[in-house]
Amino acid sequence: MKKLFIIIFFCISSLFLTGCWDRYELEERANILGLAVDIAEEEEGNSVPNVTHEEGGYPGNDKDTLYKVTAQLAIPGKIKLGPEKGGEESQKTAWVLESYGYTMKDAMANLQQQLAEKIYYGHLQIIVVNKKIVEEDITDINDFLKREYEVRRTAWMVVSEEAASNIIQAAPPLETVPSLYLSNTLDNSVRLGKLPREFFGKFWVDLSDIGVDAVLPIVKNIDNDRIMVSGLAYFKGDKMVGRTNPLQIGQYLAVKGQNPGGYSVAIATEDGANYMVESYERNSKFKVKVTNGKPSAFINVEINGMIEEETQSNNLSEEKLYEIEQKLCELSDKVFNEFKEKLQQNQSDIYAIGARIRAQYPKYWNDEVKTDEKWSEIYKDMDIQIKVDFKIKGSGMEWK
Amino acid sequence: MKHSDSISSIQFASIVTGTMVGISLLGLPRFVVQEVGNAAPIASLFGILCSLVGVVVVTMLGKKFPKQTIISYNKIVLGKFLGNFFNIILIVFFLLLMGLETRQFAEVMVGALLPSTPIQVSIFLIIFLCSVISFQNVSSFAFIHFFYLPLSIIPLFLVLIPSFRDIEIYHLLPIFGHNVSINDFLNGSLRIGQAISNFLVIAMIIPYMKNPNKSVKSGVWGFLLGGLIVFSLITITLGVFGEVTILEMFWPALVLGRMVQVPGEVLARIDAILIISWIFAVFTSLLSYFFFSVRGIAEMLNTEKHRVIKIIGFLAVFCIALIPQNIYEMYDYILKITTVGVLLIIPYPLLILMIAKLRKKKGDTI
Repeated sequence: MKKLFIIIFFCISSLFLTGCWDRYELEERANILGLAVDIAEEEEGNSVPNVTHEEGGYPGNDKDTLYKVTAQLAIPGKIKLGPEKGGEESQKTAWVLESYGYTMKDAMANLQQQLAEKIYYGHLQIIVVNKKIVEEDITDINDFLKREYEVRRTAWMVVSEEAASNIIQAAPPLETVPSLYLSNTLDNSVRLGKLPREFFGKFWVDLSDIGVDAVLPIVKNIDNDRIMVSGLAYFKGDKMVGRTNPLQIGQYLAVKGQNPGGYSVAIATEDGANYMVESYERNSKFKVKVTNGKPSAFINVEINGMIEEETQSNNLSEEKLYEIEQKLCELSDKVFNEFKEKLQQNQSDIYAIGARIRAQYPKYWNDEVKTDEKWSEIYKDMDIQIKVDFKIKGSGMEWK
Repeated sequence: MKHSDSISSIQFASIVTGTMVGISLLGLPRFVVQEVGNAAPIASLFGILCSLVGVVVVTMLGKKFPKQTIISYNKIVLGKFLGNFFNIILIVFFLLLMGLETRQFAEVMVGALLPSTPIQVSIFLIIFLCSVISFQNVSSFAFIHFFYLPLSIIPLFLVLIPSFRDIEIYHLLPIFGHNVSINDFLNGSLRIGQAISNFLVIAMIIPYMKNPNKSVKSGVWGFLLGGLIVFSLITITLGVFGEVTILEMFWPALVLGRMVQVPGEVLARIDAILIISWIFAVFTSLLSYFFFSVRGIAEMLNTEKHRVIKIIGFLAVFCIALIPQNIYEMYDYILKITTVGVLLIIPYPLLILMIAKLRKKKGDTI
């Protein structure tokens, strides 16, 4: 009798085991690896099913933008574990789907309606957003991604100037998971000093901060099997207002003092010799001041470099080195300040000068500036000087 | 009172830390920053120092009455009627706190970990876990705290230390905030006091120490360790996110865990570790609340029937946890209840200590 009681007790207590409610086996999940967001063309708009709203458009929608979301899904059985056999085309391991909606969630809900598996965002690596959307307003896309707890904050958001769906379809021949390759491209760019660490989490912090404007990498599809980081998109508030070229990313990183260095720069000396100097360490010091109610900033950038290549000449020496350093300082002083002026014209404070002034002169900020809009006005005409101190520390294996 | 328990100083300190480091940690930075903005680190330091007064007073009371718990010396100092009145307030406070904190725990579970699991199940299980542990014996309670403490604080530092490189100095300056009035500042410190007011549980434990005279020292050490964790968590979270972004989220510390990249990329996601260690911390805190309530009631009623009290307490806590309608309402209740908690940790023990001095009441010496 007692034994029976114990058995029944154990049977009943197994009802209290949890964890089962949220059980989704791997093959029951639609693992989304990459998303691309575009603005849909006019005639495509007809295909929005009424999943989250009734006939007649999205409630309270006055701007009527229709998004086209392209999702890349991993097909679980197709991804091989262990060493790669080769020959297999990577496009076959991922499934690219399209969905339309008036908001991100609307589009995802429409997508879910078409899928047998539950959409899972835990492996989302990269979100490509079309430049047109970023130039309008990026906050509407962000909200869903911030709220959804499955989305990693270390995933990347990138901007594309062509159709975003092109980028997500770039599939390298040797990689099993295409999106993984794309996000690895970005992660390794950070390690190589070619890209700031502006993944989701950091980007969102910069976006909402007062006196800081955010940046996002711009990527480009190359030959339909890889991507290239072709610059940075810089923001004013929630809108993208301009872009840089790849070398200007180096400038941004140098002013921010982010290491390791990675960009090389070509320089010519008086006698016609050409040198390629690669930066390997960058440091910067910000000095902000408010005098007579006028803010000013002085940025001292220190870059240490190495000579990587010498062409059309073969007589490198100590004196030559000093000449190159001198030339580099002049060149970078010029280009850094030019770029800075362009930023000022666009009122994009990506170097966080506003935040620094707010931090160090709270009284000035709270009396005179108060808002981000006012700061943009002041920032546009304020005095900012960048002084670059380029030092060459080595020249590789060659003496001359 | 006769007992065979003996708790060492280190165990005592780990009870203080283990109770302090609990549920509120995930959301705490948000509530402090809401009041004081950039001044959050200073305000929390101030809050911690003020609460330290509470620890010293409570442990001094323990030294004065080395054989009685707060339940007994309340009656001695304030008289039977008034003493029992305050005892009921204390017990009700801990029961309410336990209910609401359990709910907070369950909200995090539903919001960030197990969205399809019914919230009642998470609540049921964690309270159930607390109530199957025997309170007959105080040393087993101390052992549990001692065992789980490293498990709950080491992963926390694993998240905090790699976050250092993402700190922006302009998020932390100016250290006194923008236009923070004295009132705001005190409110911010109050939030800290509210979060760590639960250390009062030590007033139930001091008589079971090997040497109650050491309680002041080890209590302060335990408190300082817990305070260090709270302070560094708030400072680092603020440094990484800044005052604007912190206010956008419910649990900044959890998001911090999701943003951290461990050097070498051994682990892609570290937030799972953070959550697991946080569950340990939740468990030890809730266990302390339940311990206080159950043993408090038993002592008031002069009975040893802990099991019956536990079942009733279990039901009460479960019901309390289900009262709030949504997460905003829950935080509303928590802020209200814990304000009472601050009164209970600083002014109230001071009052007792003064009255005890005036009335020349003293406990039995060993």
